[in-house]
Amino acid sequence: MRSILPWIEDKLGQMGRRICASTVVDTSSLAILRCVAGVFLLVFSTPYFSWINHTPEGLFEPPILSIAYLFDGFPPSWLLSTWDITVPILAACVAVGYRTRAACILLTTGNFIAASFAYSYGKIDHDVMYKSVLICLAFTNSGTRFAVRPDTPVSDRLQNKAMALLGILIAFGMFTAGLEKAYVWIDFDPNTSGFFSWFYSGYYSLGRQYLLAPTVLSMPPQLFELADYGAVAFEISGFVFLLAGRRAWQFWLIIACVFHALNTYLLNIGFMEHSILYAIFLFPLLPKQFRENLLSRIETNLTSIALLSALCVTFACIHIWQRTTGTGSEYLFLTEAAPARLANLYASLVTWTVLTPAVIILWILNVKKAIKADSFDGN
Amino acid sequence: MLGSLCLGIPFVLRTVCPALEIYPSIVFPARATLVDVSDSDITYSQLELYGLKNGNEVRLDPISFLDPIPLQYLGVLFERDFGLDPEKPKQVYFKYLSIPNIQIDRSKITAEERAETEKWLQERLIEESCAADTLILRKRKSSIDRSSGEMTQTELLYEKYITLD
Repeated sequence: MRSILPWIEDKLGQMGRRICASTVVDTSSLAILRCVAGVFLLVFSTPYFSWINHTPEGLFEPPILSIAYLFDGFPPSWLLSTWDITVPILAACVAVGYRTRAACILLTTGNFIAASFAYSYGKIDHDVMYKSVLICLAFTNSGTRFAVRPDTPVSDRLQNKAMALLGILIAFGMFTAGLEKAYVWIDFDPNTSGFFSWFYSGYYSLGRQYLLAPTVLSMPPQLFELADYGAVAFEISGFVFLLAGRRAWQFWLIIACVFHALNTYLLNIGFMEHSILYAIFLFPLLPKQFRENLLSRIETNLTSIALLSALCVTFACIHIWQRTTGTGSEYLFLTEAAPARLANLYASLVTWTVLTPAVIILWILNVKKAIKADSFDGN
Repeated sequence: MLGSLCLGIPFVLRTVCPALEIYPSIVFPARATLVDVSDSDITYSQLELYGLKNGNEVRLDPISFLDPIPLQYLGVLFERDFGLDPEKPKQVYFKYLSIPNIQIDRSKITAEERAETEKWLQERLIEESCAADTLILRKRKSSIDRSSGEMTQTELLYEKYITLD
């Protein structure tokens, strides 16, 4: 027993080091992506909860194991309204880098508590990853550069651990979606389909009939048997790629982009928010010199900081105005449910259609470069 | 070790008993179900909401009827008749374990909450230009011919007339 414990500890240590090596992201990339994440939050996904108070208390039925279960009903409207006004301010703080760490922690904590009440109608939505990314960024140096008020730096070791945690959360999240599917979907029977169980319910019950969804109906369903196996293989394999090294991990994330692109086109399920998660690890595919130059240029140019700040403050003000006049929503300008759903779908379409080929090309260029460098070293 | 437990326990709970899903936790939707695609028909079930306009039934658009509640919550609201049927217990089922389903009494809504819910539903019906006193819930299983796209069969699985006083 005594000899097993150090062995386990040693193996866990090795795994931890491998994951850290796969997920390491430099500060300049994190600073740029923090800014992108903040602007993205302000435009497409600013959490909004006051709508809860426009629904009756009789619908309150929180999950047994949630924060909301500790309460008798929905929170008072003044509390949700106050939080809804605070959210765009905090998102703007993240984007411009004003007390980034505190803003990230506050935003994540507050959103988890408020979302517990939004999921008290009997169903939990699974947008937890996007809400978790800010808490991981809080423990990095993303707020120390290109920031209006730079944060105190943390050690590289802590930053690497935070990025490793984000990588683990992504791989584990996908694993939780894939394991049960593996048990049910891998049946080697072309007459049954897991893909179509998602497709039919979305197409006929939730009105997901846009983009390429109608063409799915005219295709032989047996063709999609391979889609079942492909989805399962992708979803359960994240940890293998995470442990296999940096290039393998980036390859798996590219597959994730392809997976989301196909889901958007065929199933009309966007998950656009995940593009930020993947971009954090895929941004370093751009040449280091380019990233450093880009950051140095915008960092030393006061106009760019002023412009970004003005833009974010304007977006935050628009949200606050919308929210105080009773027309708030998660999206900038959009207030009605139906156009917001469509806008989300088409924004996802643009995001995945642009991001996926871009990262594929960058990854191939990186691999070619590495092979060239290896052969040069060999000679 | 603690990290593994924080990630693993919610996942195991959700897998064996979806009613015990923890929020917040890192768990993604699995919906590991299969449909038969060998048939020439596509079979699916659908939830439908109806109001009455001049005595005739009118199918309501669930997105605008539920607004601001997201459409994906329709299923769970439908399951409990928008909270208006206090006698309908919650079904808790277990997967992969030989534990029988259990029924849990829902928390009773007070007369005040009931009145508030009815008023909310009435307002929704009026916005849809329907009579404020009746909401009809229907769950239907329908079949569509794969090649022609025409409906071949429809079966009513559940129907409820909710009278709003």
